[in-house]
Amino acid sequence: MITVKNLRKTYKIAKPQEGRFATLKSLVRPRYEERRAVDGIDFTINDGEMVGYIGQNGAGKSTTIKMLSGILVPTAGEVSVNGLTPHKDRREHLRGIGVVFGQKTSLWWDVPVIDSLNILKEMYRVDDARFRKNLEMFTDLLDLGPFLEQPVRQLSLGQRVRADLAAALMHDPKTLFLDEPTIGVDVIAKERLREFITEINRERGVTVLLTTHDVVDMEKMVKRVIVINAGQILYDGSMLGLRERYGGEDADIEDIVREIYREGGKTA
Amino acid sequence: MKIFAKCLHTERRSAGLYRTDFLLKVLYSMIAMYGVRSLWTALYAQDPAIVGRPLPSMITYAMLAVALDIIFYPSALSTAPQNYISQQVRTGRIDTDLLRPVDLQQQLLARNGGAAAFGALWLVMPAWLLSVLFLGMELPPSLFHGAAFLFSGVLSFLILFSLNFLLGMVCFVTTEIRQITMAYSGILTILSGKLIPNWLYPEWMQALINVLPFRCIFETPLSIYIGAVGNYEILCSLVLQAAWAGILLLLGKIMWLGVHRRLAVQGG
Ligand SMILES: Nc1ncnc2c1ncn2[C@@H]1O[C@H](COP(=O)(O)OP(=O)(O)O)[C@@H](O)[C@H]1O
Ligand SMILES: [Mg+2]
Repeated sequence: MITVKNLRKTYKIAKPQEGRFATLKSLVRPRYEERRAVDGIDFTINDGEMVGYIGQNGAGKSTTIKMLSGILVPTAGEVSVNGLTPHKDRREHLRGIGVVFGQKTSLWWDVPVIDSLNILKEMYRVDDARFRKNLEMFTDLLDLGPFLEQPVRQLSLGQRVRADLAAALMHDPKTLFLDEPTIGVDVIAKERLREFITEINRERGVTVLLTTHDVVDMEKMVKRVIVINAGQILYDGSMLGLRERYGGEDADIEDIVREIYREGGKTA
Repeated sequence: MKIFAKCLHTERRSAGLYRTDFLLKVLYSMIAMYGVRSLWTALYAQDPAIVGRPLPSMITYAMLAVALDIIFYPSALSTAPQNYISQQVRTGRIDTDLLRPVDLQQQLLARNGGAAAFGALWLVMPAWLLSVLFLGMELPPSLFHGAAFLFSGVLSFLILFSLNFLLGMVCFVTTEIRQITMAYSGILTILSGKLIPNWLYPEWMQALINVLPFRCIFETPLSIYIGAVGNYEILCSLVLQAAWAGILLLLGKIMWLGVHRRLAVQGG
Protein backbone atom coordinates (compact mmCIF):
# COMPACT_ATOMS: atom_id res chain seq x y z
CA MET A 1 0.00 0.00 0.00
CA ILE A 2 1.13 3.50 -0.84
CA THR A 3 -0.01 6.45 1.23
CA VAL A 4 0.95 10.02 0.66
CA LYS A 5 -0.15 12.81 2.99
CA ASN A 6 0.27 16.50 2.31
CA LEU A 7 3.44 15.70 0.41
CA ARG A 8 5.57 18.65 -0.72
CA LYS A 9 8.81 19.13 -2.54
CA THR A 10 10.37 22.53 -3.03
CA TYR A 11 13.52 22.78 -5.12
CA LYS A 12 16.01 25.51 -4.47
CA ILE A 13 17.38 26.97 -7.64
CA ALA A 14 20.50 29.10 -7.45
CA LYS A 15 19.66 32.56 -8.76
CA PRO A 16 22.23 34.23 -10.96
CA GLN A 17 23.34 37.47 -9.34
CA GLU A 18 23.85 40.75 -11.03
CA GLY A 19 26.26 43.61 -10.81
CA ARG A 20 29.94 43.62 -10.07
CA PHE A 21 31.59 40.56 -8.59
CA ALA A 22 28.52 38.52 -9.48
CA THR A 23 30.43 35.23 -9.46
CA LEU A 24 32.05 35.99 -6.15
CA LYS A 25 28.74 37.00 -4.62
CA SER A 26 27.05 33.83 -5.75
CA LEU A 27 29.83 31.84 -4.11
CA VAL A 28 29.90 33.71 -0.84
CA ARG A 29 26.22 34.18 -0.32
CA PRO A 30 24.22 32.29 -2.93
CA ARG A 31 20.65 33.40 -3.41
CA TYR A 32 17.98 30.89 -4.13
CA GLU A 33 14.69 30.88 -5.83
CA GLU A 34 12.17 28.34 -4.65
CA ARG A 35 10.21 26.15 -6.99
CA ARG A 36 7.31 24.16 -5.61
CA ALA A 37 7.35 21.01 -7.70
CA VAL A 38 4.91 19.05 -5.52
CA ASP A 39 2.63 21.22 -3.48
CA GLY A 40 0.69 19.24 -0.93
CA ILE A 41 -0.73 16.07 -2.42
CA ASP A 42 -2.64 13.20 -0.82
CA PHE A 43 -3.53 9.81 -2.17
CA THR A 44 -3.70 6.16 -1.24
CA ILE A 45 -3.04 3.28 -3.59
CA ASN A 46 -4.02 -0.20 -2.50
CA ASP A 47 -2.08 -3.38 -3.11
CA GLY A 48 -2.58 -4.76 -6.59
CA GLU A 49 -3.96 -1.54 -8.06
CA MET A 50 -2.69 -0.04 -11.30
CA VAL A 51 -2.94 3.73 -11.34
CA GLY A 52 -2.16 6.25 -14.06
CA TYR A 53 -0.47 9.45 -12.97
CA ILE A 54 -0.93 12.15 -15.53
CA GLY A 55 -0.21 15.83 -15.92
CA GLN A 56 1.54 18.30 -18.16
CA ASN A 57 5.30 18.55 -18.44
CA GLY A 58 6.65 20.01 -15.24
CA ALA A 59 3.50 19.14 -13.28
CA GLY A 60 5.51 17.25 -10.67
CA LYS A 61 5.08 13.64 -11.72
CA SER A 62 8.74 12.62 -11.76
CA THR A 63 9.35 14.46 -8.51
CA THR A 64 6.56 12.43 -6.89
CA ILE A 65 7.96 9.17 -8.27
CA LYS A 66 11.42 10.05 -6.98
CA MET A 67 10.07 10.68 -3.50
CA LEU A 68 8.13 7.42 -3.58
CA SER A 69 11.33 5.64 -4.64
CA GLY A 70 13.29 7.13 -1.79
CA ILE A 71 15.89 8.90 -3.90
CA LEU A 72 14.48 12.33 -3.10
CA VAL A 73 13.70 13.58 0.40
CA PRO A 74 10.34 15.37 0.73
CA THR A 75 10.34 18.95 1.95
CA ALA A 76 7.25 18.21 4.03
CA GLY A 77 4.51 15.65 4.41
CA GLU A 78 4.41 11.90 4.77
CA VAL A 79 5.13 9.04 2.42
CA SER A 80 4.70 5.39 3.17
CA VAL A 81 5.22 2.53 0.76
CA ASN A 82 4.58 -1.04 1.90
CA GLY A 83 4.80 0.18 5.47
CA LEU A 84 8.21 1.81 5.00
CA THR A 85 9.28 5.43 4.73
CA PRO A 86 11.22 5.42 1.45
CA HIS A 87 13.97 7.94 2.21
CA LYS A 88 14.50 6.65 5.73
CA ASP A 89 14.39 2.88 5.27
CA ARG A 90 16.14 3.20 1.92
CA ARG A 91 17.76 -0.20 1.48
CA GLU A 92 14.88 -2.30 2.66
CA HIS A 93 12.49 -0.16 0.67
CA LEU A 94 14.55 -0.44 -2.52
CA ARG A 95 14.50 -4.24 -2.33
CA GLY A 96 10.72 -4.14 -2.47
CA ILE A 97 10.22 -1.83 -5.43
CA GLY A 98 11.11 -1.65 -9.11
CA VAL A 99 11.56 1.63 -10.93
CA VAL A 100 11.82 2.38 -14.64
CA PHE A 101 12.50 5.80 -16.06
CA GLY A 102 11.56 5.80 -19.74
CA GLN A 103 13.93 8.70 -20.30
CA LYS A 104 17.04 7.05 -18.90
CA THR A 105 18.26 3.55 -18.42
CA SER A 106 19.25 2.21 -15.04
CA LEU A 107 21.34 -0.53 -16.62
CA TRP A 108 25.08 -0.25 -17.08
CA TRP A 109 25.74 1.44 -20.36
CA ASP A 110 28.73 -0.60 -21.56
CA VAL A 111 27.70 -3.94 -20.12
CA PRO A 112 25.69 -6.61 -22.02
CA VAL A 113 22.10 -6.83 -20.77
CA ILE A 114 22.50 -10.36 -19.44
CA ASP A 115 25.54 -9.31 -17.40
CA SER A 116 23.68 -6.33 -15.99
CA LEU A 117 20.90 -8.69 -14.92
CA ASN A 118 23.46 -11.01 -13.35
CA ILE A 119 25.05 -8.19 -11.37
CA LEU A 120 21.63 -7.00 -10.22
CA LYS A 121 20.85 -10.55 -9.14
CA GLU A 122 23.69 -10.34 -6.63
CA MET A 123 22.83 -6.80 -5.53
CA TYR A 124 19.27 -7.83 -4.72
CA ARG A 125 20.34 -11.29 -3.53
CA VAL A 126 17.95 -13.14 -5.81
CA ASP A 127 18.42 -16.89 -5.51
CA ASP A 128 19.39 -18.94 -8.57
CA ALA A 129 16.09 -20.72 -9.09
CA ARG A 130 14.01 -17.57 -8.90
CA PHE A 131 16.42 -15.75 -11.17
CA ARG A 132 16.31 -18.47 -13.78
CA LYS A 133 12.53 -18.63 -13.66
CA ASN A 134 12.14 -14.87 -14.00
CA LEU A 135 14.74 -14.60 -16.72
CA GLU A 136 12.97 -17.28 -18.72
CA MET A 137 9.60 -15.67 -18.29
CA PHE A 138 10.71 -12.13 -19.12
CA THR A 139 12.84 -13.25 -22.04
CA ASP A 140 9.75 -14.93 -23.39
CA LEU A 141 7.21 -12.18 -22.70
CA LEU A 142 9.44 -9.25 -23.62
CA ASP A 143 11.34 -11.05 -26.36
CA LEU A 144 14.71 -10.17 -24.86
CA GLY A 145 16.48 -13.06 -26.59
CA PRO A 146 17.83 -11.18 -29.61
CA PHE A 147 19.66 -8.55 -27.58
CA LEU A 148 20.58 -10.15 -24.24
CA GLU A 149 24.23 -10.25 -25.27
CA GLN A 150 24.36 -6.65 -26.46
CA PRO A 151 25.50 -3.73 -24.31
CA VAL A 152 22.76 -1.26 -23.50
CA ARG A 153 24.32 1.53 -25.53
CA GLN A 154 23.65 -0.48 -28.70
CA LEU A 155 19.95 -1.07 -28.04
CA SER A 156 17.03 0.68 -29.68
CA LEU A 157 14.78 2.64 -27.36
CA GLY A 158 12.09 -0.04 -27.37
CA GLN A 159 14.60 -2.77 -26.60
CA ARG A 160 16.15 -0.66 -23.87
CA VAL A 161 12.85 -0.08 -22.08
CA ARG A 162 12.08 -3.79 -22.26
CA ALA A 163 15.48 -4.60 -20.77
CA ASP A 164 14.92 -2.01 -18.06
CA LEU A 165 11.52 -3.45 -17.24
CA ALA A 166 12.94 -6.94 -16.90
CA ALA A 167 15.72 -5.58 -14.68
CA ALA A 168 13.21 -3.76 -12.48
CA LEU A 169 11.22 -6.95 -11.95
CA MET A 170 13.99 -9.51 -11.47
CA HIS A 171 13.80 -9.30 -7.67
CA ASP A 172 9.99 -9.70 -7.60
CA PRO A 173 9.14 -6.26 -6.23
CA LYS A 174 5.70 -5.71 -4.73
CA THR A 175 5.47 -2.26 -6.24
CA LEU A 176 6.46 -0.88 -9.61
CA PHE A 177 6.96 2.79 -10.46
CA LEU A 178 7.05 3.56 -14.16
CA ASP A 179 7.92 7.08 -15.26
CA GLU A 180 6.86 7.52 -18.89
CA PRO A 181 7.77 3.95 -19.87
CA THR A 182 6.18 4.25 -23.32
CA ILE A 183 7.70 7.57 -24.33
CA GLY A 184 9.25 7.50 -27.79
CA VAL A 185 8.46 3.82 -28.30
CA ASP A 186 6.83 2.73 -31.57
CA VAL A 187 3.22 1.57 -31.74
CA ILE A 188 3.90 -2.15 -31.87
CA ALA A 189 6.46 -2.05 -29.08
CA LYS A 190 4.07 0.08 -27.01
CA GLU A 191 1.38 -2.52 -27.47
CA ARG A 192 3.71 -5.21 -26.19
CA LEU A 193 4.80 -3.10 -23.20
CA ARG A 194 1.18 -2.49 -22.26
CA GLU A 195 0.34 -6.17 -22.43
CA PHE A 196 3.35 -7.01 -20.33
CA ILE A 197 2.69 -4.43 -17.64
CA THR A 198 -0.98 -5.41 -17.48
CA GLU A 199 -0.03 -9.05 -17.13
CA ILE A 200 2.49 -8.33 -14.38
CA ASN A 201 -0.17 -6.38 -12.51
CA ARG A 202 -2.86 -8.99 -12.98
CA GLU A 203 -0.90 -12.23 -12.60
CA ARG A 204 1.63 -11.24 -10.00
CA GLY A 205 -0.47 -8.68 -8.18
CA VAL A 206 2.24 -6.05 -8.48
CA THR A 207 1.04 -2.57 -7.57
CA VAL A 208 1.78 -0.20 -10.45
CA LEU A 209 1.96 3.58 -10.56
CA LEU A 210 2.60 4.76 -14.07
CA THR A 211 3.03 8.18 -15.61
CA THR A 212 2.25 8.72 -19.24
CA HIS A 213 1.18 11.27 -21.82
CA ASP A 214 -0.31 8.59 -24.01
CA VAL A 215 -4.08 8.52 -23.83
CA VAL A 216 -4.16 5.00 -25.24
CA ASP A 217 -2.03 3.87 -22.30
CA MET A 218 -4.64 5.30 -19.97
CA GLU A 219 -7.60 3.79 -21.77
CA LYS A 220 -6.09 0.36 -22.15
CA MET A 221 -4.19 -0.04 -18.93
CA VAL A 222 -5.69 1.78 -16.00
CA LYS A 223 -9.03 2.03 -14.28
CA ARG A 224 -7.95 4.82 -11.99
CA VAL A 225 -6.13 8.04 -12.76
CA ILE A 226 -4.62 10.78 -10.66
CA VAL A 227 -4.29 14.08 -12.49
CA ILE A 228 -1.71 16.50 -11.19
CA ASN A 229 -1.16 20.07 -12.23
CA ALA A 230 1.40 22.55 -10.92
CA GLY A 231 2.12 20.21 -8.01
CA GLN A 232 -1.52 19.80 -6.96
CA ILE A 233 -4.02 17.08 -7.56
CA LEU A 234 -6.89 18.03 -9.86
CA TYR A 235 -8.63 14.70 -10.10
CA ASP A 236 -8.32 11.33 -8.44
CA GLY A 237 -10.78 8.66 -9.46
CA SER A 238 -11.89 6.21 -12.08
CA MET A 239 -11.44 6.71 -15.80
CA LEU A 240 -15.22 6.40 -16.04
CA GLY A 241 -15.72 9.22 -13.58
CA LEU A 242 -13.23 11.31 -15.48
CA ARG A 243 -15.36 10.97 -18.60
CA GLU A 244 -18.55 11.76 -16.77
CA ARG A 245 -17.11 14.78 -15.10
CA TYR A 246 -15.41 16.28 -18.09
CA GLY A 247 -17.30 15.53 -21.23
CA GLY A 248 -19.72 12.68 -21.21
CA GLU A 249 -19.55 9.01 -21.90
CA ASP A 250 -18.48 9.03 -25.50
CA ALA A 251 -16.12 11.99 -25.30
CA ASP A 252 -12.64 11.53 -26.66
CA ILE A 253 -10.10 11.04 -23.86
CA GLU A 254 -7.65 13.27 -25.61
CA ASP A 255 -10.17 16.11 -25.58
CA ILE A 256 -10.89 15.50 -21.94
CA VAL A 257 -7.23 15.63 -21.00
CA ARG A 258 -6.83 18.82 -22.98
CA GLU A 259 -9.83 20.28 -21.21
CA ILE A 260 -8.46 19.42 -17.76
CA TYR A 261 -5.06 20.85 -18.53
CA ARG A 262 -6.64 24.08 -19.74
CA GLU A 263 -8.76 24.35 -16.67
CA GLY A 264 -5.79 23.62 -14.43
CA GLY A 265 -3.82 26.26 -16.25
CA LYS A 266 -6.48 28.80 -15.33
CA THR A 267 -6.58 28.04 -11.65
CA ALA A 268 -2.84 27.61 -11.22
CA MET B 1 31.95 -10.27 -2.90
CA LYS B 2 29.55 -12.09 -5.17
CA ILE B 3 29.06 -8.93 -7.17
CA PHE B 4 32.81 -8.86 -7.59
CA ALA B 5 32.81 -12.43 -8.88
CA LYS B 6 30.03 -11.61 -11.35
CA CYS B 7 31.97 -8.61 -12.60
CA LEU B 8 35.09 -10.68 -13.07
CA HIS B 9 32.99 -13.09 -15.08
CA THR B 10 31.52 -10.21 -17.11
CA GLU B 11 34.97 -8.94 -17.98
CA ARG B 12 36.10 -12.37 -19.01
CA ARG B 13 33.10 -12.77 -21.27
CA SER B 14 33.60 -9.41 -22.90
CA ALA B 15 37.28 -10.18 -23.42
CA GLY B 16 36.08 -13.23 -25.30
CA LEU B 17 33.78 -11.04 -27.36
CA TYR B 18 36.51 -8.58 -28.24
CA ARG B 19 39.36 -10.99 -28.70
CA THR B 20 41.52 -8.84 -30.99
CA ASP B 21 41.35 -5.94 -28.58
CA PHE B 22 42.48 -8.25 -25.83
CA LEU B 23 45.38 -9.69 -27.82
CA LEU B 24 46.46 -6.19 -28.83
CA LYS B 25 46.67 -5.22 -25.18
CA VAL B 26 49.03 -8.10 -24.41
CA LEU B 27 51.07 -7.23 -27.48
CA TYR B 28 51.14 -3.59 -26.51
CA SER B 29 52.40 -4.39 -23.04
CA MET B 30 55.15 -6.58 -24.48
CA ILE B 31 56.30 -3.74 -26.72
CA ALA B 32 56.14 -1.23 -23.88
CA MET B 33 58.11 -3.62 -21.68
CA TYR B 34 60.72 -4.01 -24.36
CA GLY B 35 60.87 -0.22 -24.61
CA VAL B 36 61.54 0.44 -20.93
CA ARG B 37 64.01 -2.41 -20.91
CA SER B 38 66.03 -0.78 -23.69
CA LEU B 39 65.82 2.59 -22.01
CA TRP B 40 67.21 1.44 -18.70
CA THR B 41 69.83 -0.71 -20.39
CA ALA B 42 71.06 2.34 -22.29
CA LEU B 43 71.09 4.47 -19.15
CA TYR B 44 72.95 1.80 -17.28
CA ALA B 45 75.57 1.54 -20.03
CA GLN B 46 76.20 5.27 -19.68
CA ASP B 47 76.64 5.25 -15.94
CA PRO B 48 75.53 2.50 -13.55
CA ALA B 49 75.48 5.06 -10.74
CA ILE B 50 72.49 6.83 -12.33
CA VAL B 51 70.40 3.72 -11.94
CA GLY B 52 71.53 2.88 -8.45
CA ARG B 53 70.51 -0.78 -8.70
CA PRO B 54 71.83 -3.80 -10.53
CA LEU B 55 70.57 -3.70 -14.11
CA PRO B 56 68.43 -6.89 -13.98
CA SER B 57 66.58 -5.57 -10.91
CA MET B 58 65.99 -2.23 -12.53
CA ILE B 59 64.70 -3.80 -15.72
CA THR B 60 62.41 -6.05 -13.72
CA TYR B 61 61.09 -3.07 -11.79
CA ALA B 62 60.37 -1.06 -14.93
CA MET B 63 58.79 -3.92 -16.87
CA LEU B 64 56.56 -4.94 -14.01
CA ALA B 65 55.47 -1.31 -13.69
CA VAL B 66 54.33 -1.43 -17.30
CA ALA B 67 52.41 -4.64 -16.63
CA LEU B 68 50.70 -3.24 -13.54
CA ASP B 69 49.84 -0.10 -15.41
CA ILE B 70 47.61 -2.12 -17.74
CA ILE B 71 45.24 -2.84 -14.89
CA PHE B 72 45.74 0.40 -13.02
CA TYR B 73 45.65 2.87 -15.87
CA PRO B 74 42.72 5.10 -14.88
CA SER B 75 41.09 6.04 -18.17
CA ALA B 76 41.25 2.54 -19.62
CA LEU B 77 38.21 1.21 -17.85
CA SER B 78 34.60 2.26 -17.90
CA THR B 79 34.37 0.76 -14.43
CA ALA B 80 37.01 3.15 -13.07
CA PRO B 81 35.04 5.16 -10.51
CA GLN B 82 35.91 8.62 -11.81
CA ASN B 83 34.97 7.67 -15.37
CA TYR B 84 31.74 6.05 -14.34
CA ILE B 85 30.69 8.85 -12.02
CA SER B 86 31.44 11.62 -14.49
CA GLN B 87 29.48 9.76 -17.16
CA GLN B 88 26.49 9.27 -14.86
CA VAL B 89 26.54 12.89 -13.72
CA ARG B 90 26.87 14.23 -17.25
CA THR B 91 23.98 12.14 -18.58
CA GLY B 92 21.80 12.66 -15.51
CA ARG B 93 21.67 8.92 -14.88
CA ILE B 94 23.16 9.26 -11.40
CA ASP B 95 19.55 9.08 -10.11
CA THR B 96 19.42 5.48 -11.17
CA ASP B 97 22.51 4.60 -9.12
CA LEU B 98 20.62 5.73 -6.05
CA LEU B 99 17.96 3.12 -6.79
CA ARG B 100 20.28 0.24 -5.92
CA PRO B 101 20.21 -1.31 -2.46
CA VAL B 102 24.01 -1.25 -2.48
CA ASP B 103 26.10 1.81 -1.66
CA LEU B 104 27.71 3.46 -4.72
CA GLN B 105 31.24 3.06 -3.37
CA GLN B 106 30.70 -0.66 -2.82
CA GLN B 107 29.06 -1.08 -6.22
CA LEU B 108 32.03 0.52 -7.91
CA LEU B 109 34.59 -1.29 -5.81
CA ALA B 110 33.05 -4.60 -6.83
CA ARG B 111 32.83 -3.68 -10.49
CA ASN B 112 36.22 -2.03 -10.77
CA GLY B 113 37.76 -4.78 -8.66
CA GLY B 114 36.29 -7.40 -10.98
CA ALA B 115 37.79 -5.65 -13.98
CA ALA B 116 41.17 -5.30 -12.27
CA ALA B 117 41.20 -8.93 -11.19
CA PHE B 118 40.46 -9.90 -14.75
CA GLY B 119 43.32 -7.69 -15.94
CA ALA B 120 45.64 -9.27 -13.40
CA LEU B 121 44.79 -12.82 -14.39
CA TRP B 122 44.41 -12.51 -18.12
CA LEU B 123 46.63 -9.61 -19.13
CA VAL B 124 49.35 -9.24 -16.54
CA MET B 125 49.95 -12.94 -15.98
CA PRO B 126 50.60 -13.70 -19.66
CA ALA B 127 52.68 -10.55 -20.07
CA TRP B 128 54.67 -11.45 -16.97
CA LEU B 129 55.23 -15.02 -18.11
CA LEU B 130 56.38 -13.93 -21.56
CA SER B 131 58.73 -11.36 -20.11
CA VAL B 132 60.24 -13.90 -17.73
CA LEU B 133 60.84 -16.20 -20.67
CA PHE B 134 62.06 -13.71 -23.22
CA LEU B 135 62.92 -10.35 -21.70
CA GLY B 136 64.93 -11.29 -18.68
CA MET B 137 62.34 -10.43 -16.02
CA GLU B 138 63.60 -11.77 -12.69
CA LEU B 139 61.59 -13.83 -10.25
CA PRO B 140 61.09 -12.46 -6.72
CA PRO B 141 63.98 -13.46 -4.42
CA SER B 142 61.81 -15.65 -2.20
CA LEU B 143 58.35 -17.09 -1.88
CA PHE B 144 57.72 -14.63 0.93
CA HIS B 145 58.58 -11.71 -1.34
CA GLY B 146 56.29 -13.09 -4.04
CA ALA B 147 53.37 -13.48 -1.65
CA ALA B 148 53.99 -10.07 -0.11
CA PHE B 149 54.06 -8.57 -3.60
CA LEU B 150 50.62 -10.02 -4.42
CA PHE B 151 49.18 -8.80 -1.14
CA SER B 152 50.74 -5.39 -1.65
CA GLY B 153 49.32 -5.26 -5.17
CA VAL B 154 45.80 -5.73 -3.83
CA LEU B 155 46.36 -2.88 -1.38
CA SER B 156 47.75 -0.77 -4.24
CA PHE B 157 44.54 -1.33 -6.11
CA LEU B 158 42.47 -0.27 -3.11
CA ILE B 159 44.49 2.93 -2.70
CA LEU B 160 44.25 3.77 -6.37
CA PHE B 161 40.54 2.97 -6.35
CA SER B 162 39.86 5.28 -3.43
CA LEU B 163 41.87 8.12 -4.95
CA ASN B 164 39.92 7.66 -8.19
CA PHE B 165 36.67 7.59 -6.26
CA LEU B 166 37.61 10.85 -4.55
CA LEU B 167 38.34 12.30 -7.97
CA GLY B 168 34.87 11.13 -9.00
CA MET B 169 33.37 13.06 -6.09
CA VAL B 170 34.86 16.20 -7.60
CA CYS B 171 32.43 15.73 -10.52
CA PHE B 172 29.60 16.75 -8.25
CA VAL B 173 31.27 20.07 -7.52
CA THR B 174 32.50 20.90 -11.00
CA THR B 175 30.97 18.98 -13.86
CA GLU B 176 34.13 19.49 -15.89
CA ILE B 177 36.95 17.34 -14.52
CA ARG B 178 39.19 16.89 -17.51
CA GLN B 179 41.82 19.35 -16.34
CA ILE B 180 41.82 18.05 -12.82
CA THR B 181 42.13 14.53 -14.18
CA MET B 182 45.12 15.55 -16.24
CA ALA B 183 46.86 17.09 -13.25
CA TYR B 184 46.01 14.00 -11.24
CA SER B 185 47.43 11.63 -13.85
CA GLY B 186 50.59 13.71 -13.95
CA ILE B 187 51.01 13.51 -10.20
CA LEU B 188 50.39 9.78 -10.29
CA THR B 189 52.94 9.24 -13.03
CA ILE B 190 55.64 11.21 -11.28
CA LEU B 191 55.08 10.39 -7.63
CA SER B 192 53.86 6.79 -7.72
CA GLY B 193 57.17 5.30 -8.82
CA LYS B 194 55.65 4.08 -12.05
CA LEU B 195 58.23 5.69 -14.33
CA ILE B 196 60.98 6.72 -11.96
CA PRO B 197 61.67 4.83 -8.75
CA ASN B 198 61.80 7.09 -5.73
CA TRP B 199 65.41 6.31 -4.87
CA LEU B 200 66.42 8.29 -7.96
CA TYR B 201 64.85 11.52 -6.73
CA PRO B 202 66.75 14.12 -4.67
CA GLU B 203 66.37 13.72 -0.97
CA TRP B 204 63.90 16.52 -0.32
CA MET B 205 61.60 15.02 -2.89
CA GLN B 206 61.86 11.58 -1.39
CA ALA B 207 60.86 13.10 1.93
CA LEU B 208 57.79 14.62 0.31
CA ILE B 209 56.90 11.44 -1.54
CA ASN B 210 57.18 9.41 1.62
CA VAL B 211 54.36 11.26 3.31
CA LEU B 212 52.03 11.01 0.31
CA PRO B 213 49.98 7.93 -0.57
CA PHE B 214 50.98 7.79 -4.24
CA ARG B 215 54.19 5.83 -3.80
CA CYS B 216 52.21 3.01 -2.24
CA ILE B 217 50.60 2.36 -5.60
CA PHE B 218 53.61 1.34 -7.67
CA GLU B 219 56.79 1.72 -5.70
CA THR B 220 55.81 -0.35 -2.70
CA PRO B 221 54.79 -3.55 -4.50
CA LEU B 222 57.56 -3.26 -7.09
CA SER B 223 60.30 -2.75 -4.50
CA ILE B 224 59.03 -5.79 -2.68
CA TYR B 225 59.09 -7.83 -5.87
CA ILE B 226 62.72 -6.99 -6.72
CA GLY B 227 63.81 -7.59 -3.15
CA ALA B 228 64.94 -4.02 -2.56
CA VAL B 229 63.47 -4.08 0.93
CA GLY B 230 64.04 -6.46 3.82
CA ASN B 231 61.43 -8.53 5.61
CA TYR B 232 60.84 -6.08 8.41
CA GLU B 233 60.46 -3.17 5.99
CA ILE B 234 58.04 -5.21 3.93
CA LEU B 235 55.76 -5.62 6.92
CA CYS B 236 56.01 -1.92 7.68
CA SER B 237 55.15 -0.89 4.16
CA LEU B 238 52.20 -3.29 4.03
CA VAL B 239 50.86 -1.77 7.22
CA LEU B 240 51.35 1.69 5.77
CA GLN B 241 49.53 0.70 2.60
CA ALA B 242 46.66 -0.79 4.58
CA ALA B 243 46.42 2.39 6.63
CA TRP B 244 46.29 4.57 3.52
CA ALA B 245 43.71 2.30 1.91
CA GLY B 246 41.56 2.48 5.04
CA ILE B 247 41.84 6.25 5.41
CA LEU B 248 41.15 6.98 1.76
CA LEU B 249 38.22 4.58 1.53
CA LEU B 250 36.72 6.14 4.62
CA LEU B 251 37.27 9.64 3.26
CA GLY B 252 35.52 8.62 0.03
CA LYS B 253 32.63 7.19 1.99
CA ILE B 254 32.23 10.37 4.01
CA MET B 255 32.32 12.52 0.89
CA TRP B 256 29.81 10.29 -0.82
CA LEU B 257 27.46 10.54 2.17
CA GLY B 258 27.61 14.32 1.83
CA VAL B 259 27.05 14.23 -1.91
CA HIS B 260 24.23 11.74 -1.54
CA ARG B 261 22.48 13.90 1.03
CA ARG B 262 22.75 16.87 -1.30
CA LEU B 263 21.40 14.87 -4.23
CA ALA B 264 18.49 13.63 -2.15
CA VAL B 265 17.56 17.17 -1.18
CA GLN B 266 18.29 19.09 -4.36
CA GLY B 267 17.55 16.43 -6.95
CA GLY B 268 19.90 15.22 -9.67
N1 LIG C 1 16.51 18.83 -9.70
C1 LIG C 1 15.70 19.87 -9.87
N2 LIG C 1 16.08 21.11 -9.48
C2 LIG C 1 15.26 22.16 -9.67
N3 LIG C 1 14.03 22.09 -10.20
C3 LIG C 1 13.57 20.89 -10.61
C4 LIG C 1 14.38 19.72 -10.47
N4 LIG C 1 13.68 18.66 -10.96
C5 LIG C 1 12.49 19.16 -11.38
N5 LIG C 1 12.42 20.50 -11.18
C6 LIG C 1 11.26 21.37 -11.47
O1 LIG C 1 10.16 20.87 -10.77
C7 LIG C 1 8.98 20.92 -11.54
C8 LIG C 1 8.38 19.52 -11.67
O2 LIG C 1 9.24 18.70 -12.44
P1 LIG C 1 8.96 17.16 -12.71
O3 LIG C 1 8.60 16.49 -11.45
O4 LIG C 1 10.12 16.64 -13.45
O5 LIG C 1 7.68 17.23 -13.67
P2 LIG C 1 7.05 16.14 -14.66
O6 LIG C 1 7.75 14.84 -14.42
O7 LIG C 1 5.62 16.11 -14.30
O8 LIG C 1 7.25 16.64 -16.04
C9 LIG C 1 9.38 21.53 -12.87
O9 LIG C 1 9.09 22.90 -12.81
C10 LIG C 1 10.87 21.33 -12.93
O10 LIG C 1 11.49 22.36 -13.65
MG1 LIG D 1 8.86 13.69 -15.76
